[in-house]
Amino acid sequence: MPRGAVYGLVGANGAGKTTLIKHILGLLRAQTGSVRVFGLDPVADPVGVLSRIGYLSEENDLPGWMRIDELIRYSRAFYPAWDDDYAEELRRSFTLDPAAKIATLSKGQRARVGLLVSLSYRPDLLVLDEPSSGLDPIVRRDILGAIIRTIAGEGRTVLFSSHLLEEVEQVADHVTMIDHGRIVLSAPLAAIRDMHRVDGRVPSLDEIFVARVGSSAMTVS
Amino acid sequence: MRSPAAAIAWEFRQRHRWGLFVFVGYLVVLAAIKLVVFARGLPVTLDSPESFAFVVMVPLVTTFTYSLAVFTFGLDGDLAARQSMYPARLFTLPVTTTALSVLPMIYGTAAMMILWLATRTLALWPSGLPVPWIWPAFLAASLLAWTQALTWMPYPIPGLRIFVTVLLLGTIDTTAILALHFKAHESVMLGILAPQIPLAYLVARFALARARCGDAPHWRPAFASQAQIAPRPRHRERFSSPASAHAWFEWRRHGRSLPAWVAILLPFELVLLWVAGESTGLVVTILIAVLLTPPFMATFAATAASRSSANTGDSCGVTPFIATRPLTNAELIAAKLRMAIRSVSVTWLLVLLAMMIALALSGTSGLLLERLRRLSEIVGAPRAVVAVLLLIGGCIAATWTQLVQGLYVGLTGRASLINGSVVLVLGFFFLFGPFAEWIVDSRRLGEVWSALPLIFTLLVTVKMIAAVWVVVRLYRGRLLSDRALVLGAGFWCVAVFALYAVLVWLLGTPHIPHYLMMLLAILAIPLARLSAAPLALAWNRHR
Repeated sequence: MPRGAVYGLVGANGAGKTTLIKHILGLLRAQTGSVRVFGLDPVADPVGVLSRIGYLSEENDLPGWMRIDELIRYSRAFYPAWDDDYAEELRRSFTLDPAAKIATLSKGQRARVGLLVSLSYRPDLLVLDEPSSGLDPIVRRDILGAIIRTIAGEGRTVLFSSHLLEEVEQVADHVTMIDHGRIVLSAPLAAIRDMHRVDGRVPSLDEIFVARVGSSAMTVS
Repeated sequence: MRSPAAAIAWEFRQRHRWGLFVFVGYLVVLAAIKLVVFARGLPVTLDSPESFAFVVMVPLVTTFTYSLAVFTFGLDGDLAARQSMYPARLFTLPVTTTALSVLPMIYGTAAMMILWLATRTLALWPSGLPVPWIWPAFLAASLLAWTQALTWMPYPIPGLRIFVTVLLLGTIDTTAILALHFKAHESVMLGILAPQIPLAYLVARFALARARCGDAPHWRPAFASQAQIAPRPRHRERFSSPASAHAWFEWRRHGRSLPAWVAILLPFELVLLWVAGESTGLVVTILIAVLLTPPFMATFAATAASRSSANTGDSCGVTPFIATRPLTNAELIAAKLRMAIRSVSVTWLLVLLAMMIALALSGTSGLLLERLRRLSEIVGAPRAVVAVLLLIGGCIAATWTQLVQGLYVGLTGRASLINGSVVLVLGFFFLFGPFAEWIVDSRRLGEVWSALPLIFTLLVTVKMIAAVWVVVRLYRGRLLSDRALVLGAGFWCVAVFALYAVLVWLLGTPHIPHYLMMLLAILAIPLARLSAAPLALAWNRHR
């Protein structure tokens, strides 16, 4: 992946998006081939890789017993580049009460807390695994805003997996479609649109996805 | 499935079919033994306690315990959590709360009745022992019913469920034992036990009604509204390093449970000093029980501490929150070890302070000092002091060891390994008692003593082979640095030789050869299991 790109990772359920992300984070050991992130093996060197990645998942398994200020204090210790002012700015913009326990937060508020702790150290790579799944439009807007903020920083990269293709269309400049663990299409968004132009009409990413992955799924079945 | 009742029964049967299969197989074996004995008139009896325990009591108690876990849904839930242990997925079924609570209770009651009646009918019992038919079935059913009611109840404080359940079940058990002691008639036993079951059903119905509508009380708002102690953000110093931050995390998550549990139990134990009066033997027994409480409770605290997940309710696997911490596996383990040291320190500070205060206030300190003075007269003052320090130090070390030695299993994140190890440990303890009794009764202690060098040598060989295997894997996987490996080996050798030196000096007798003490020291200092913890975590974290 080139630096500074926003990669949209799309695929049907079970296509392998989360598996790919787990490989990037070192949560899975490659059975064949190898995985390199920033030139490092994430399994052999978790500190070198994970300290430069910001990660937010759909599961968002933040410890419910912590308060928000405790989570910030705890997370800050792991990242030398943690920016207190930026964290405070995010906290205020997300209207998060520092004394609130994570267990008592709504799903949207939890997603905001997850975003706060994964953005406050300005990671080189932001990995978002279905971050806006099941969230309201306001939280989804926050997440998209976070992606835009991240890419505004010089040389930062975003890997964004989502089922909501219109979101991917809004922020991604490169789209990768995967199906059954294989890449079926990977190209800049503009090139994909040009590729699928029919009689001058540019189809939506939804239509392209159905055309590519839907036909592949039918072939398999 | 034609009804919700059939569906719920099917779920129990389907999920635990292997357990049911083993139980039915055991009953068939019991019946076959009895048929062979009766048909051929063989002079076989189960009069010896160990054979009776092995053939009847151990399987009976194991099945009872397993059934408790099954019918309370305890295999999935978190005993220490505030929330109800009843599976939330069942709350959304179009079934009344009464049906949700009563159906599992009826199945449980029926299972307990069948368990007892089948064992009573099919097992060989010691001759001359009047084994009752009915009330033990009611005892088992009422214990299960109350366990169901209390585990399904939401509580305001984490851990309160364990306390309440142990207290109530202990009370029922004690009542039954007292009634037995006073040779109460079966009708009296039934009069005590039978009403427990409908009462527990009512409590369970009430508990489930609260749990189903999410009515889980919490202590904090109740206090906050009255005393204005609502939590406020605190501005604390930064953590000095990622390792110290994660050690704090482990302490907050798992470290405080051991001191809390010991603090709950201590008053009940130490209050007995006031009852002991002038009996030095009783005072010493109470104090030994107090000293053994932390290592005993640590075995329970360890089950939570060895979990790899951040939230207590999670499954065994390491959660992304923990797995994506930019820390090495060794640093994650080190945080757990630091948490264990802190937890043990706080616990023992509490125990020693409480002991001293109780001894002083109860006026029994004089008895203890007199006993210590007599000991110092017999073995000399330095040896007496070292023996006492070794006893306390050994208990402290045993507490820490109990907390951390299960990490190598818990951190694998494999439910089958974790549950299998629990079954193995329970099986060992069930069999150890009858086996030890058999050795004592059959006067084989001398043979065991003679075989001790061989047993110790075998155990040391196994330990060292396991340690070498673990170290090679750690080295090859680069899970620990060379420096850490060399330092760890060095510290272990120093600890072994230090313990050996103390043992030789303390037990300087020609009856115990020095090499035996060396073997004992090697076995006493943790090595293989502790070293395997980073391997287990790596296996779990990078699947």
